[in-house]
Amino acid sequence: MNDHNGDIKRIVKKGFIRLPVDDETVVKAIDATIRYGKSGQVERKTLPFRRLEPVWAYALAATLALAVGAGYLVLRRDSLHSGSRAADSQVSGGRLQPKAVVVSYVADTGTVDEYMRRKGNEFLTDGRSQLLLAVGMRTRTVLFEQSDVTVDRADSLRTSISLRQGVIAVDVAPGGIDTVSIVTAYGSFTQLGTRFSVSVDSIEGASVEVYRGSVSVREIDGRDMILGPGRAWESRNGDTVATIRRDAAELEELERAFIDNKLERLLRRGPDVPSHSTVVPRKPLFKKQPSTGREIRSAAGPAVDVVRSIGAMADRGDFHAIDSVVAQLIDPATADAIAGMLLTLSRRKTDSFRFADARRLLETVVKGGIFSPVRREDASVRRYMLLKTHEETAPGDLLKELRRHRNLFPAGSFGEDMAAEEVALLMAMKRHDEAVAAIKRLLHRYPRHPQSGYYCYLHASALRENLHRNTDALDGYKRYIAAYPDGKYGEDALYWIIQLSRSSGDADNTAQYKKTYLKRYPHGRWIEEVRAIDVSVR
Amino acid sequence: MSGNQRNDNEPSSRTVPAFSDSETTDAWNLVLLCRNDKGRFFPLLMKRHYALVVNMGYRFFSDRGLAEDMAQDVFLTVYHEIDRLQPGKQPFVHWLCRITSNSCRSLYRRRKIEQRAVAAGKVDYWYGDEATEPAERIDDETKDAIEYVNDALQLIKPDERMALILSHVAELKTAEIALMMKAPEYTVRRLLRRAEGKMHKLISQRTFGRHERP
Repeated sequence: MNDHNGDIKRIVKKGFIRLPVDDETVVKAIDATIRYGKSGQVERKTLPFRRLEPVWAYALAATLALAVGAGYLVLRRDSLHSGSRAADSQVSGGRLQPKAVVVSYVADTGTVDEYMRRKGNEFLTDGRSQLLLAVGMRTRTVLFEQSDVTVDRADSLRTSISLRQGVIAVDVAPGGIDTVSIVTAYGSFTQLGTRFSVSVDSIEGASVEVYRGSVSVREIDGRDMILGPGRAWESRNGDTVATIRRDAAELEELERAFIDNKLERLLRRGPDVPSHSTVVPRKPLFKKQPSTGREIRSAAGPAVDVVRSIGAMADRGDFHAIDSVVAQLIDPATADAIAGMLLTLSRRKTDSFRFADARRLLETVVKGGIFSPVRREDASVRRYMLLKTHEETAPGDLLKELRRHRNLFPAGSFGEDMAAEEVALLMAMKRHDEAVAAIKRLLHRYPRHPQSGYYCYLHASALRENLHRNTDALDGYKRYIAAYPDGKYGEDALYWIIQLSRSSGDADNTAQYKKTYLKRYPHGRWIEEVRAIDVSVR
Repeated sequence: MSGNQRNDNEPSSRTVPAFSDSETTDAWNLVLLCRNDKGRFFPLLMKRHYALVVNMGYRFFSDRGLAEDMAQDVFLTVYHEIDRLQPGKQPFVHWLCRITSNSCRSLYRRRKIEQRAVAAGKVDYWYGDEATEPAERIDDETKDAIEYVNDALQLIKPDERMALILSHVAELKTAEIALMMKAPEYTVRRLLRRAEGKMHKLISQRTFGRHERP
């Protein structure tokens, strides 16, 4: 037993070793931090900007731009876990974090690694290749020949791509909250609309053309402007040349060049037509059970056949066939593997903006009784987020979906978060009665919710402000003060207790809480008002 | 205290840890220099502390890329706030650890649903069951130990996880952690003891084959 404890201690000591970070990573991080830090400083100067065109809503253009042809969007996803991973990956235990996924590519010769990726999140195309990337939440970027970019950041809040050289075209799907920026040495360009192109040349400088929507331009010296569709901005030798208005014919020709490039033609042709693309080996989606070495089995047939067939069915969009395969599954291990595959396929569909297909695949997992509750719940949450984030679903339908999730998974591990979502939705829909009930349920069921203080305060405020139930609101504020004495809404809660006590004629309470407020918040934002309150009975 | 290599049996009256003046002064000097010439000295400051922040994030999320993203956010905050920082008795690294801890927590809350549910979410792809390539510089035994510890950390509550990280990675004493978390020292000590107990149990189950990984 002592040896055992000693072994554990040794493992813990070794396991917590501080891992080194290589110099190159540090240098890159320093550069990025200073770059973002400086741009943040520029923002604080509140420079005026010239609005050249009204900002267009960007609801339509991505759909129009992407919906080309009937056999559109058969995309091959390249695995980022190529042989160069060992070199790219940092110290052990660290996992590669690809921020951009290669959706498709075109090249005349060469292997994937040669022309497509240099290291980590840097991409480089040679004189004959183009590359299509899905980046972040909703951005699709075409790198044209001899382009050099780095994906600096791609998460739910921000997508940022540095363009060092070459030309890229950017399409941003509607519905997200993240900002999408292209950063160059001459300025940064932030999407407000959907379709624009940026080019950088060490001699010519940089230029941006806007085809649909608007782009915010921040020049290197801090000037801001917004370019609308049909406008272009150019910079040469460090000077802004002009903000140019392209004539319609010229713009159409430029846009056609970006739309009708060889990559898009390949995508429109589909996978059956031979292309010059290099075949990239698929990353295997399944592995044997590590502990038993069992092959995955299915009543539907040998495991490999089942897996292949589902992948092919998903590509064809034959979801009924997938449903019938799933219905025949009997082995839980096989079922789990297939559930994982369906989730992966749904994510790929989403990355290529095929939201309906993604939703359909997720529905298969949710309904599949053979799948584990964990997988089914995972799929249900993803489905909800897909509806919310990408498909601009009406709040009423979102609420139905959310409640469906709650009925299916009443004790699920996402219960807390979905309860919070329900409150947010009901408040947004101004169904305050139900919102208040939902908050009460949330607080009762999840007393340790990280934002329980907020919800407690919100409960009282909704009662007062929206439902005019002042007595209940007063109790609510008092509960908040008692439960969260150091909570960030303490001052406001005290203020409302004073006001509500006063309006209900309770002089003693009013006086008591007024005294507490004056003592606790001598410089509070309500101080003048509270001081002026007459504590005598109304 | 099992697993804790440092002596935490200090007199309870000693609530502020003692640091050598030179160590504290040197760090704050660099902060002051950064204010005068950020372009020149901020890289030095960041270089000195980057590994610590990344390691803290990596242990919290068991994810290197996310840790690097979080580290960038932390240092962006440092970049913007450095002009307002006042040198104090506590080392600069305490302030940095506090920012890192808060960043980890807020990112954790934000990512909890995002991680699994965002439609474009690359959970399985980015954070899931992909095998990692081992680094050449670390021996197999250490790699395994790191994996056990990381896996165990992910099964521990975030507060306890952060306490362990502050203790083992940032190498802070209990009193220092208590100051940072604004909690009594005995609370932090209890938290650490509980967290370390859980970690030991999880590693024990795994290494000695009593159970499958929970």
